[in-house]
Amino acid sequence: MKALFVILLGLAGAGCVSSNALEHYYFQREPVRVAVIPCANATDEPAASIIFNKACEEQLRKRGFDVVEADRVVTFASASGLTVRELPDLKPSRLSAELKAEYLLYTRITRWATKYHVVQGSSVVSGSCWLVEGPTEALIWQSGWHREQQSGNGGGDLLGMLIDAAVTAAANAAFDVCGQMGTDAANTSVLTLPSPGFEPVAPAP
Amino acid sequence: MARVPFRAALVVFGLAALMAGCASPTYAPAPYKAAQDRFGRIELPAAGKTVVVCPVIDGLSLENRKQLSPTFTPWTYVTEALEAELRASGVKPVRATFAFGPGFREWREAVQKQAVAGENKVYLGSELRQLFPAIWIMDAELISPKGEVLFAKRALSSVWGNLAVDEQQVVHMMLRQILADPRFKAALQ
Repeated sequence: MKALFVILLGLAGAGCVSSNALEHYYFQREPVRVAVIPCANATDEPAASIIFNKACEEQLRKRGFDVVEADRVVTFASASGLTVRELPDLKPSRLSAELKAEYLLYTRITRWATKYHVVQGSSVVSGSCWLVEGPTEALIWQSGWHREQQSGNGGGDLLGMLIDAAVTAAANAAFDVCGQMGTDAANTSVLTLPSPGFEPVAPAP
Repeated sequence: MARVPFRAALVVFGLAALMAGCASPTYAPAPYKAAQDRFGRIELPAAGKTVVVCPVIDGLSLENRKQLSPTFTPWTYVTEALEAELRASGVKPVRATFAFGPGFREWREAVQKQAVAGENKVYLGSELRQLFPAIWIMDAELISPKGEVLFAKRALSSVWGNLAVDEQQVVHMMLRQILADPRFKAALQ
């Protein structure tokens, strides 16, 4: 009697597992290919775009996505007689078909600078990214990011504060704090993307 | 002596404020407006075609449900939004009236059972898997009366970081992933 109960339990368990696994498999597809569109960079720092794109590409690969690098997108633009600035205006369905990527990752960088304001030095980076599904032109995911680092401002007299701010600004510039913060923003943003394989495979016959 | 009641009042006030902030099962999206100009119309090739829209299967977790307003019915909201977008695209949605179990497999079986031989309809089924203000996930299937799957897809829409959530955009983009998919359009024809 006990053995029968165990067998029945086993069968029920097997039934549940196979049913869930089937549904799960049904809505999976791999690999998902993402094209990284060169950033629309509204700042005075031309390297910002390169740093952010590279960080996104690396993080996307780590997450298991198949990546079309921004450099290849630039090559495509040149070959098509387009400038990089014109790329965001291109219809996503066309761009996605041309690049053979189901998804397009766009980025806009709005701030990327280290500044020294008398008693305060600060570095700030901010912008947003969004993922568009090419064929449907639907926005799947969007993320806004902002990182800021200010001088210690540990108090003391005016001279101390001035020195502190100047040293912080110089150190931030020398150690490319913006680059580090931008890379961190790219990494954290890409981590919030849905897992690759959120698309279904062709229905099983 | 006078200090104790003041402190107690402060603690009670703080707790009440905390509870008001934390226990907020109040989320309900604003009524959905189909075919908003800012998103562009979803072009469907099969104008005039009838699609049987089956009420959305409610696959939300208990945790997700706790965050929603008790008066809000997610499946009604999403079913009506789907129908509104289909209508705006020139397709005639007809609401299914037959009952079916809580999954796609049960739904396919129910469609097959009630279908009349030789009928030229397609059935649209869907399951809502997550509904938070900033993350919506839905699975959808388009099947023939014989239960043959013509199209299947998981649609999702999410907003992260410091961006404001545009609720209408989130819902529209989720529906667009299904209705504007070239494979869905091909399956409709």
